[in-house]
Amino acid sequence: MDFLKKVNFKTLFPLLGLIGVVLFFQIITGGKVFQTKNIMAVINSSFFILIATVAFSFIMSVGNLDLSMGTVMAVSCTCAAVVAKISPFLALPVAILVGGIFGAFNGFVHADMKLGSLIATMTTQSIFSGILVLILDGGTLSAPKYMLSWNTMSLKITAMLIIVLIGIYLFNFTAYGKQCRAVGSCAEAARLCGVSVRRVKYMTFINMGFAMGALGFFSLIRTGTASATTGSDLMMNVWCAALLGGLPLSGGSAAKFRSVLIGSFTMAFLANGMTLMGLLSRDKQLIQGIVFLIAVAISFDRKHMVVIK
Amino acid sequence: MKKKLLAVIMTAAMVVGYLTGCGSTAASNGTKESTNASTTETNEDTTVSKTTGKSFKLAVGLPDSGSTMFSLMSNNITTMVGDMGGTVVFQGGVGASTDATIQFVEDQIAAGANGIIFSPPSDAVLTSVCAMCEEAGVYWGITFRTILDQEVIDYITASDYYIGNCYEDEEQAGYQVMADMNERGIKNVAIISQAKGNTTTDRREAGAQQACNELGMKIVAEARALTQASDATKAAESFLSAYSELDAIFVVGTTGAGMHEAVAKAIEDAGKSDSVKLATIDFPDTMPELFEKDCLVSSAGLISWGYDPYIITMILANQCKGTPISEEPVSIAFPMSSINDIDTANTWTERFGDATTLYYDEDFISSTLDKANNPDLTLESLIEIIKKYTSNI
Amino acid sequence: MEAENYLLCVDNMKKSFGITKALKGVQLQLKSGEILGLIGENGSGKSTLTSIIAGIQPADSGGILFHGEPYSIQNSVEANEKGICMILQEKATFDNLSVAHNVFIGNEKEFCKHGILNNKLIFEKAREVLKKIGVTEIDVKDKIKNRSFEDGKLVELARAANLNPQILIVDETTTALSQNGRDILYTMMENMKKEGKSVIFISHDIDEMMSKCDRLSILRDGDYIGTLEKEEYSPEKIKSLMVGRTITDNYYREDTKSSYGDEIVLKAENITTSNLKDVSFELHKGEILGFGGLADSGMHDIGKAAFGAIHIKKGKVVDGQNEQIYSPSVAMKKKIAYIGKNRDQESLFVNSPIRDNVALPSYKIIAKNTFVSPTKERKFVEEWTTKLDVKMQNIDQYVSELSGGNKQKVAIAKWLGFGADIFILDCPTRGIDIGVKASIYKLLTDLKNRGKSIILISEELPEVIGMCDRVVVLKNGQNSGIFVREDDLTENKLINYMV
Repeated sequence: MDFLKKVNFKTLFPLLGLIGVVLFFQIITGGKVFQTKNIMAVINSSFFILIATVAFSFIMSVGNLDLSMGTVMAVSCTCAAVVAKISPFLALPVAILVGGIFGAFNGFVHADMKLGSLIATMTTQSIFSGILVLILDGGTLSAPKYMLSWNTMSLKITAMLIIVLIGIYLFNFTAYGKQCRAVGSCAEAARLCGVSVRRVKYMTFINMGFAMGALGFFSLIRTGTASATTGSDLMMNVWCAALLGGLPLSGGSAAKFRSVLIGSFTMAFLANGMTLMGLLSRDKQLIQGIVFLIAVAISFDRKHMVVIK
Repeated sequence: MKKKLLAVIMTAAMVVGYLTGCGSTAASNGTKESTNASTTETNEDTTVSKTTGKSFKLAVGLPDSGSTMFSLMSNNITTMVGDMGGTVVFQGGVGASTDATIQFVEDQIAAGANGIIFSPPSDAVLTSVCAMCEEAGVYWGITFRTILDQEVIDYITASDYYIGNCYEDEEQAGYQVMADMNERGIKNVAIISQAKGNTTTDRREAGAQQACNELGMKIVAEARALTQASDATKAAESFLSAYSELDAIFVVGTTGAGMHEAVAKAIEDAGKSDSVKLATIDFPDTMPELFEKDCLVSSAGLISWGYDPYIITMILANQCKGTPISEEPVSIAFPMSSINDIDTANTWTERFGDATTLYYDEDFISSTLDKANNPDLTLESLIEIIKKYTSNI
Repeated sequence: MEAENYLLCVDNMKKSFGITKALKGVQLQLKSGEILGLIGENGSGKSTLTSIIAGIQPADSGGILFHGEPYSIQNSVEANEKGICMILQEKATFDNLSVAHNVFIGNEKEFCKHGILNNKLIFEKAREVLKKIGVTEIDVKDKIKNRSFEDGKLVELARAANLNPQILIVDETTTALSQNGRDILYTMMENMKKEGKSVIFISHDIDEMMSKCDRLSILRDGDYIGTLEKEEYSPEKIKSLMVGRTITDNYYREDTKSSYGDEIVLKAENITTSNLKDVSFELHKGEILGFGGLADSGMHDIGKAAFGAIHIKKGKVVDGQNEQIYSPSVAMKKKIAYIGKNRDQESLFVNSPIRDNVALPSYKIIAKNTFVSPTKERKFVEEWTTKLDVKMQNIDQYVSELSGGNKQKVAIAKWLGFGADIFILDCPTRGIDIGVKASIYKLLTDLKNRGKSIILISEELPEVIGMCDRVVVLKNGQNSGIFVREDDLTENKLINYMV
């Protein structure tokens, strides 16, 4: 009984959701979910969502949002494809660097030009896609073929583990992670506690940029292409994962890192399970929408909110 | 506290009940659903006994889903694959981006597909798909699009798992429509098309340009990248007022709905119905009405939108059954036909306006298209079959 | 029980917010034609009780009899219809509506014809209602946002007067009103009494309560303590009933002589901000420097400016080494701490656990190579909350669940843990009950004795006089006088410089 007292049941729903989704598909597909081949596919499809959500969780704990992530990834991917023609080993560092620069620009627009994050990243998203189209010149760029052979499971799993571990460390065990949540709880109080709100906001966007840069690189070795549509469906998936996992839109100390893992894997298992069932894509979208609505409706903390935004 | 505990226990009980309950009903649901999308497991057994060869699972991914055209295509493919003893699933939104395409292929490989057909957004993505399919031992082919990059062609045709490409002959369509107009005495044409760089409309325009050179016609004006019917109206209005010598407006390719109708309306409103005509590629929904008004003079299109994915899926199905039609990857360009009069338009609409129309009936499929039953089926004879079908509007 | 004799009778009412029991079975009896005072410390349950009566929130259990009939309502509109009306402590007017529309909010139907609002009539009637309660200088067409807080309260009074309630509840409204406004309120209350209607009156000002109320009911920690008749009144008795023990007035510093070191630790040189004009001061080691003045004298800017938290247009703030302080993080490097006036918005994260609140400024101390060990963090937080005797379940409890006094203790604990040498405290005892107040004063004295320096900004003159070595009085953003601690420093002396 004692441990039950400590558990806030609302926070458990995302986890129950994940278990529910996995069990549901395990039963309905007759045990296909846990076949090695399929687990690999799940890891594969969670790869992008998970890494992006790790970085996004910091932005969300500050109480911000990012609409430009997919575009930043596409630009990084494109730049990686450009430099890969010179030397493929430049691709990853350049992608990360470019992501960081674009992230910093987001930070600048939000923290220095003092635009709300939604508006800020909406405008930068538009600017970035303009730049993207300029670089691509209406076409697509492709990577040297042998770079495709880098796209191995072991590299992906290593990258995922490293980034998740860094994420956990930053989120829970450093002043930075705690300051993010402090800013999300009350920016003025954080400022009066000596937290440089501007720096924290910059950092979250730059880190997001780094993650997007890395993903741009992985997208390049996965698809062999950089195009205007690269990363276009990333944002919705990441937002869904974050909310399914229970990250609050308002930020603050209610943000927990486990939400990142739970949300990302729920999304991955959901998409994968529906593919295993052989559903039509329009049905998939409908089901995804319903699951999303139920999850958010159950786990959202309306009590502490005066107005539902 | 007790309430909370109780609530959790109740929820758990509900979830368990739901899951176990659903396990059985959903299994039957699953079969029910698959009658829509594919044949049922039991059906499969009978078809397997009817035909020879092993069972197989295919996946088809295309850019859009939900239209009548899509239903017509999926019905036909489902029937055909079922007759040949396999199952097939469809997914929309695949060609929209490279990410979505790769995700589709990865998912389908994981789901245990034996063969995959899709419409690629770019050439470069094919290299990755090729590598993935080779590793997984899955056959694949593409539809709707040609490959321009010679390096990519060389790379994928070297793979044992690439079976080929079925696409429409866009250049020929562009030429055909212009030639039709020439017969009606039309010389000066304004075009409405996509932004330059779109491979489909670029090739259609190339065909049109060739017709201009050979037949002494002229493209006097152009409007590009229109997305809404109102844009088309504006474009048509400015053509009509600026070019008095204009004979026709040629809608080479659009993405929006109702474009053709908007142009027709603009011509009518300008009082130039007699002197200015309309021509299109891709059959508009209101084709018979437009002919009736004597506005439309020529419309080119593949006899049915779903026919080329149908054929490539058939080739893939044969490949998966171990009875390949061709040892080498195929590359079949489908001729587009043009419709010039209201009777043909009406006949066509009657035939393909209905999603249940079958390209080929069951007998023909198992006796002719299934190589296991018809060892004489070769690439050459297949092309004859295609020609016969596409010319028969 | 002789419930029939009373207009309103509350019996055994209970209400909890989470784990906090705001009301633990409270009773209250209100007669017709009386002004009943409701008194108690902060968090004793006065506002909770009255807001339940006014239908603003539901009770967990317990009954109310109104006119001897069971009384159950869903919301404040129903309460209004039954004749119970409440003036809240907080603002309850709508900024973007005119004074007149605010007066008749919710009753616009009376002025509607075929769905169209007759504005002319509404303005006319509003003027009438305002005049009736004695307010003439407010233009009814003016938007509320252009009027002062006091005017807003008067508009609320007019709104209540228009409803002509059987029972009017006035919750801590007088502090927001000037003498004139108070007179209007008192007259209104007296008139209601004459008409045989009743008033429940809540105020912290014991003198005011004693002079205006016919009876006084006392609450403490959600318990009903008792009711005093007018002849039983005495300030000592009321105070001791409120806090449950005898309280002497003298909880300030005991010494009456100014004392501090020679070393200057903080210096403001001719600073000008949007609310301050050319203000200079010096803070010495071991000194408590007080700032007093009216609420709009600019004194709250002093604290923020000294902490680098607002933009200083001219002049600068420097530390003992003559290094400029231009941002909160620089200030913190100089070991300066700041507790703002708006506790819940400026100095605390109410929707975060106590742990995060206390540890936030001190991660540099707790962390080892950027690693913040949870065990070390817990020990740190527990150490300082224990030192300050914060009443809580554990350090993971949310600050929002604490009482005002304990919240302030958390805010102080965070800066003590940080190891600040200079404390800037803006109204540190605002809205805090006497017990915690006394312990904060004791703490300030201890800090002073340990050589720490304190800037104490307060709207309460006795506090400034009672605690500070020197007092700076501000008027219209300017320094109007400096007073050194001495025996005969009185409020009257300071007030002359304030207004």
